[in-house]
Amino acid sequence: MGKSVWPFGLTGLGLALLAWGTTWGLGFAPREAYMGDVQRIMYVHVPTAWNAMLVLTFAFLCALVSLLRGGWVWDARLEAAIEAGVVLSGLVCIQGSIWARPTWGVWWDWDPRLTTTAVLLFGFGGILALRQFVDDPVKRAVWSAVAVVIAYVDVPLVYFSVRWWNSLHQVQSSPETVSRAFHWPLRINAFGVLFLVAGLLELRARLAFMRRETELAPPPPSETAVAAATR
Amino acid sequence: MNEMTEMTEMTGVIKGGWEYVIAAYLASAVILLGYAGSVVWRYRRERSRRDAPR
Repeated sequence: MGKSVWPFGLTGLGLALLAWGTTWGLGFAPREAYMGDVQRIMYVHVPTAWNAMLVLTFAFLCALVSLLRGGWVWDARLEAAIEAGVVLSGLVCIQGSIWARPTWGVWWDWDPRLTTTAVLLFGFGGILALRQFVDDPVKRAVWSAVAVVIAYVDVPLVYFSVRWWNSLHQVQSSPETVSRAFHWPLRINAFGVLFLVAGLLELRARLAFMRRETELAPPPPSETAVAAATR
Repeated sequence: MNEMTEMTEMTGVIKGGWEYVIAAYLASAVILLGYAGSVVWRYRRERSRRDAPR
């Protein structure tokens, strides 16, 4: 995997967009008619949720390619995507909990959307833990890829849970359901999180690949072996 | 004044709530910046370990 600096640039661009979108959302976007200022949490919660789904879908694709074609590059990308997906899923749960308290009156409820998201967080968190415990890199790659394919079943369940079951959570936001005044901070932050995570995914994948190369490298020859070979 | 008139009027509109907004943005900043810092730090450490002369 390369040494180029573009992931740092992408990460910086993502942070700059997030600063811009956050300033717009907190300072300039109008107050929502019913939720008031609390609705401003949407500008960070929804982009995080969208990108969590996207990153976990990328993990699923990496798992499929890793299983079908093999190769340590795809295993490194898989490791990066699982880790970023767990971070984003955890953040979605925290943001959602903070938004739930003033709007629903509770920090948490075992409603279909929240429950399937919690399953997602613990499922992928478990796969990340599994990778730490398996010493054999080949078994680690195969087992975690199979586990990701199985755990990914929960992603469409999270997405459609608000439509299929009776949920406290509102249905998905779209340009038709969100007022035009709220579009820009939402879009800017969505691209901000996307670029930030894309840059970090590449760096994390390079890190995983370097570790794998070190792990798979043959041990250096001992001094006695070198001496015997030169005799 | 009876008990009903002393209660806050129920309008269905949430008033205030900036403390929740600030908490959500702070949590997001801490987690996203913390994760970004962690990835960059681990990447640089691994690269300097590999580039170091043996």
